[in-house]
Amino acid sequence: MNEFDRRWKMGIAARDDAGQAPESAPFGFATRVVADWLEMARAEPSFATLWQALAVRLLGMLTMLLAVLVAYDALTSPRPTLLQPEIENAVADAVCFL
Amino acid sequence: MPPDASFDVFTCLDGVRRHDAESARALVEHLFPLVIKIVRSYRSRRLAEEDLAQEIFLKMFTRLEQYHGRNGVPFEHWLSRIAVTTCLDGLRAEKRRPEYRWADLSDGEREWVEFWAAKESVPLPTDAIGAREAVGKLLALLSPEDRLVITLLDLEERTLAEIGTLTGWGISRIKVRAFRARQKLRKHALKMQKESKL
Repeated sequence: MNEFDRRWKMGIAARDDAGQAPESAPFGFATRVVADWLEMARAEPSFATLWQALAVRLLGMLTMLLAVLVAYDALTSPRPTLLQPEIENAVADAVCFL
Repeated sequence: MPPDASFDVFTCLDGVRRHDAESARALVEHLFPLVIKIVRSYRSRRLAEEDLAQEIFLKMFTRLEQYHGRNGVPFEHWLSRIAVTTCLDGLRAEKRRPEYRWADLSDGEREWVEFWAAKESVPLPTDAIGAREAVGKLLALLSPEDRLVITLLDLEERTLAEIGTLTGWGISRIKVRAFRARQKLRKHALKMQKESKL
């Protein structure tokens, strides 16, 4: 501990001797806080509050839905071949026409 | 007034969860000494201490669902963390820190600043109120994070582990920040003392 730290600690010790104002809640403080809280709790939830509460759940549900659709698509759609007959025919028709 | 040791916080919390106003009032009155002690340590200049205490209690009520009492975390620790972060946010919201000059200090405060800044032997000042005011003014010159660490470590004499729990910082980070914060305190004391000689 250097000299400043030692002196700083002495100042803090002296500060503790100065005492503090009474620590019990001022008259009416608890009633006021509780009334504010109950009023907040009773208030209709705003769009912002609802959004805050539901946004994460909504995002999770959409992610799950997307994952299910991707999986379904991967399982049910036919494997794409390199050349599709329809495309080959269309290309051949186009060449003949030219 | 010391908090009542026989007070049953958990019974009260059950009442609060049922929106019972009497339980909520009893909880606020029981926890007020804990909250006001933290508020007084960090009080922002902008906010009155009662307003800050009220904000902390409202956060306590609205976030109560997040406290489960698992892992043996006492409710008072959970509330202390809310109180510390609320006060820290209040300090961060202040765009500018105060600038105290030598002329702004009382005689008692000057004695303490001279005592801290001196390298040579100086008689120990005896003015306790001067010490409290001078400590408060020097701390107000620090950044919110530096002020937080010095308040927790030096003024409240909390352990490094407790500070880690309250702030979420690692032990090394707390030690380094405290070391640098004390260096800044010394610089501020020296700067003020130099002004006295101009």
